[in-house]
Amino acid sequence: MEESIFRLRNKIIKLLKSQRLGVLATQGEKYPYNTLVAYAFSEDLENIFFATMKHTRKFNNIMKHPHVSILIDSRTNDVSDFKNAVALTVLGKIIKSTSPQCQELYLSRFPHLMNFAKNPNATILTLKVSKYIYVQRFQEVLELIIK
Amino acid sequence: MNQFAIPLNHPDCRKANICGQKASSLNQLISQDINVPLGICITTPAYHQFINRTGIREQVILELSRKNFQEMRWEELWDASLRIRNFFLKRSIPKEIKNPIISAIKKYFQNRSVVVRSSSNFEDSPISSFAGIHESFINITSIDQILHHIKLVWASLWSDAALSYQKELALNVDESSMAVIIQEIILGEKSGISFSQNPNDNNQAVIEAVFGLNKGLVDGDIEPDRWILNRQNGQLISKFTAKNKKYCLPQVNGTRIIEVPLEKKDQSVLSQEEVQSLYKTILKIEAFKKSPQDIEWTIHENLIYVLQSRPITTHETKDANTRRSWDLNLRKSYETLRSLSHEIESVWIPAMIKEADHLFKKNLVQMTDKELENEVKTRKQQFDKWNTVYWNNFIPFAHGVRLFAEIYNNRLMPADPYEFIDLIASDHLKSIERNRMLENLANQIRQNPNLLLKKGQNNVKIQITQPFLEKFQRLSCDINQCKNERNTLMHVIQEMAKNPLKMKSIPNKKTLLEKYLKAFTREEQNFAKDILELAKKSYLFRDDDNIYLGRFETLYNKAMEESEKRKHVQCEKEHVCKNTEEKMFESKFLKDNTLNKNVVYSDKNKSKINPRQLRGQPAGKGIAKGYARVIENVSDLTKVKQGEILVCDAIDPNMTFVIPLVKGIVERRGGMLIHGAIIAREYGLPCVTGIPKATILIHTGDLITVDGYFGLVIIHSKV
Repeated sequence: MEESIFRLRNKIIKLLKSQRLGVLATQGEKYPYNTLVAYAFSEDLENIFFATMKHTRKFNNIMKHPHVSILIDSRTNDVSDFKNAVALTVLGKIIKSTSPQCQELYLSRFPHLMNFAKNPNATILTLKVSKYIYVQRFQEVLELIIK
Repeated sequence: MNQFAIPLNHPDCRKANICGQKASSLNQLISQDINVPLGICITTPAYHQFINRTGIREQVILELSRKNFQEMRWEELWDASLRIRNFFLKRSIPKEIKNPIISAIKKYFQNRSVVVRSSSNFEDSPISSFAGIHESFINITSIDQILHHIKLVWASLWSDAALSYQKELALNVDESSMAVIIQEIILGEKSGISFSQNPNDNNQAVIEAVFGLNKGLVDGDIEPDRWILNRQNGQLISKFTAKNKKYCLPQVNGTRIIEVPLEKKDQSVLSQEEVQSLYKTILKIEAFKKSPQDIEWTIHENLIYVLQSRPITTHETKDANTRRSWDLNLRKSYETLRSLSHEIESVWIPAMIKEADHLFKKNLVQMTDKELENEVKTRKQQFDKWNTVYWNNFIPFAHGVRLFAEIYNNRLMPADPYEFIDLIASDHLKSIERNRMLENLANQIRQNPNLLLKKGQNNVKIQITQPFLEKFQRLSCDINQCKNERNTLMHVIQEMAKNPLKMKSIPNKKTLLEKYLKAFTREEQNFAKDILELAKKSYLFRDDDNIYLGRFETLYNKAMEESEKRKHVQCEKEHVCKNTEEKMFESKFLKDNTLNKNVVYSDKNKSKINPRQLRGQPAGKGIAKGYARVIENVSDLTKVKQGEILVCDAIDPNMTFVIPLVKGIVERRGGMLIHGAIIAREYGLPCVTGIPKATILIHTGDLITVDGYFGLVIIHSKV
């Protein structure tokens, strides 16, 4: 393994750009709760954004437990995944407000979600990232600690 | 004909994607009425179906995902290749693939002996030649043996040499494939290689010939007669006659080399007519192939058979001076290894011991400045001389272990591809012997803890170091001369005394030996025993040769130290001290020249990288969790505590004395035959090798787990 922080950051950005959906994990009453979300991210890697309806289970879970994680990966459902796929687990905390610029950033990535996100019952949430866990070559694991 | 087996003369055999480059080329020769031995080609679809049906495709992918190829040492490539080879050996060919192949073999060869040869879709292409990176086998008899050797040829798609050319070959699981040629064996009375154009002179053609089969010539074991001809008219320009002629003969499932009968010793291998016939044949082949050719042939009952023809490319010489081509050259044959073994044992090692002993007797302190200056020069020259011998003779000899591994695994097909090590592991490794002595001293302290109370008193020191010195005065670091070593040893012995050493119970060698010998026929018993002895010596030298060379390193350092000391005294007198240009050797084993400490692992935004799991090679089975002790320089050895996990760049045989203290080993340098792995296996310690930047990413005090089954290091918490 040879990674400078610069190279690892670039690898993470490359993966985040290559995918659109990630698996969000929130803390339910009894069980961890997974959902697919469409995400955007800030290039400094400090924030991840996703939209949700406010009546959803995931939103309720977040209101009670703002610490969440998202899994984003490059698998292709082929055996070569064991060699080539990378997986990124993002850990962090949902913060209360999302700035208008960030909302724009999100909508510029997913213009087709405009109506969905502008719905009064919907909101764009900001995940303040504390750690990225990057897995490559099947079992090689590196962590990028953000601030 | 069926989709898995096509006759060499069938038009479909021309398709290199189905039959590989070599078969395609033979098909072209046949179409031009060149005499080619009868044969069939086992197609690439057979290979693909085999790896798909048996799960080998996935296993190869996992094996190749372990590490960046660019970061792998040649030994690591060899290990990966050995593991892949075992996947192929352990799987049976499914009926649907096997049956059509068997019926073709029966139809074309009945019970005759055959050769089984590689024909990959990239070797010998018009642009580049990668001759010799895949395997071919001569004189194979019986259906079972032919099928077994087909698997070996398939596996050789992933040979260490092929892996090292992975980039150039674009070697990958999906597109690379291997066809196999099966041909009747022609037991030629004389054979050879011809170049329709001399690679060194465009106006010449070259013919080389030996008695018997040409395997001995191809492997470089037999010196050929050589004719240099004028390319235009075939006239003889010069002829070289080999002095020491030998004869390569078939034997059960292989070949052997014997001396040429006396009456043939001075006889030219080829007659003038034969030289002319060969000249015409090679020019004919060149004419329709439209490029100069490198041709292998054999002559049986006055008939020339062409075994192979490939374009002459300059590719092979391109990286003639690189480390890779040097590494690839290490593939020595049994014959070469045998003579190398004799040379090392009877010439080099005794000479090294004698010279070093002589130098050790010299008293540096009593020398004049001039004498000392000369002594430094002499010792530097001595070290350089032995270092060259080490690279040219000792390291190639280590290939004996690799050759044995291949033979062992072919015959016994063990579940663990490294089982062979238990059979050749020696109880006489110098470093293990030394550790036993330390353990004895530790045992004395365990029984009489009062000994420790007297620490520092002369009588105790003498008691502890004297037997060591007497026994090991010939080794590199003479304790009475290396000032820190005495303290280091005291420390190690005290740590060892805390708990008795648990040695792994090495499997019963007698049982293993019986199992090994059973795998050979009665006629092969001598060969089996010889190659085992050779492998044992090769394995032993792997550890010991460094110790012998290390003595010259120490000798030079001693002289330099004395010289520096004098210069310092002198310059202090004159107040003109400056840095001297010459430096002492740093231990070559501790240093990783590729290590770049400047790689940034944190930035101004305060974000940073934490390695959590690092992948390497599994080099010693078992799992151990403990605190890391990172060895960056020799003085760190004095700090090793019992139960720690040793993390280092590369274990030097001279530092293996701390191994009895540790619970596990992590090493930057990769491979199963490196000292760290050898010692870990002897002590039954979990060991992972080949972790790039191990000593930078892991810090002393980090809590880590070494998974020696999978080849993984997990870092639980950082200091």
